Amino acid sequence: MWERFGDTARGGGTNAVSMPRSILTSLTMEGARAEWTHLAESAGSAMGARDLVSLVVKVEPVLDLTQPDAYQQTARSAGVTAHPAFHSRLADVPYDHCHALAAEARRERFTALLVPSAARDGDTNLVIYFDIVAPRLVELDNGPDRIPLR
Amino acid sequence: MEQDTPYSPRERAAVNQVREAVVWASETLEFSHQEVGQALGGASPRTVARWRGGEQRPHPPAVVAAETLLGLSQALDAVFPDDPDRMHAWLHEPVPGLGHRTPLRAIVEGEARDVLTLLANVDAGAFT
Repeated sequence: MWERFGDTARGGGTNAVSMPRSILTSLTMEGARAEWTHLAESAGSAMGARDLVSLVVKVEPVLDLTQPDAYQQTARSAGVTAHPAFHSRLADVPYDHCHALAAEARRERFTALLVPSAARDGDTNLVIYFDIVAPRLVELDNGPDRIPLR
Repeated sequence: MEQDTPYSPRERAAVNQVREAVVWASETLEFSHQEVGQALGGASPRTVARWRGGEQRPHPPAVVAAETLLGLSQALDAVFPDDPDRMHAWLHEPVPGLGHRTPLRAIVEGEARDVLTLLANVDAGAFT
């Protein structure tokens, strides 16, 4: 599990304050680096030096939205129409659609989501909600890797 | 005269909020009163001067815009801690995430919330 900006003590890469509290991770180092590159390019010089770190994660229950059946069912429950690009090119999917899915997953008390990466096609991100009232399991430890990003 | 009418606690809070935003935009962003007026939703330099002096009740859109500007102040402090030179350099550079406008231009055009969102994502490391 790769997380871009910090470590478990700092809280790492979390959602902005207006969003539910979560840690945003990628399943591969390449995916995490792509996410960082995307954000850094968007923000210009505001993005200073950061570290890419590995994490050891145990979490459940996890909703795997990379699976078409689970995605279709969650979209129906959320009252939104399934988007044809969700699994092929997430960057084309509106934020509101993703937020509706996340809200439904949280309503169903999932602690984490597996979702396609918008920054790297074919990669997968794991979003961990640590503000769920009663998660069945969330354990985070720092992994062995820390790679400076410039 | 308007200033002779006592402010309610809510009005006093709004007056102070807008005044604080005007001072911050003038001194930190180095905006003219005309630019501050644009950033606050469209007000004349004369009105901005009166807001700065606490002499006039701000209209509700200006209060909302002032809240965003003050949030932006906090976000800039978080992303550029103790580094005003780097902060000012960023404020003057074209930023892809803002349609290649400078953050200052986006703020003057009334889109401070977009700048705030961008900085919040940078600070938080949020996937975009």
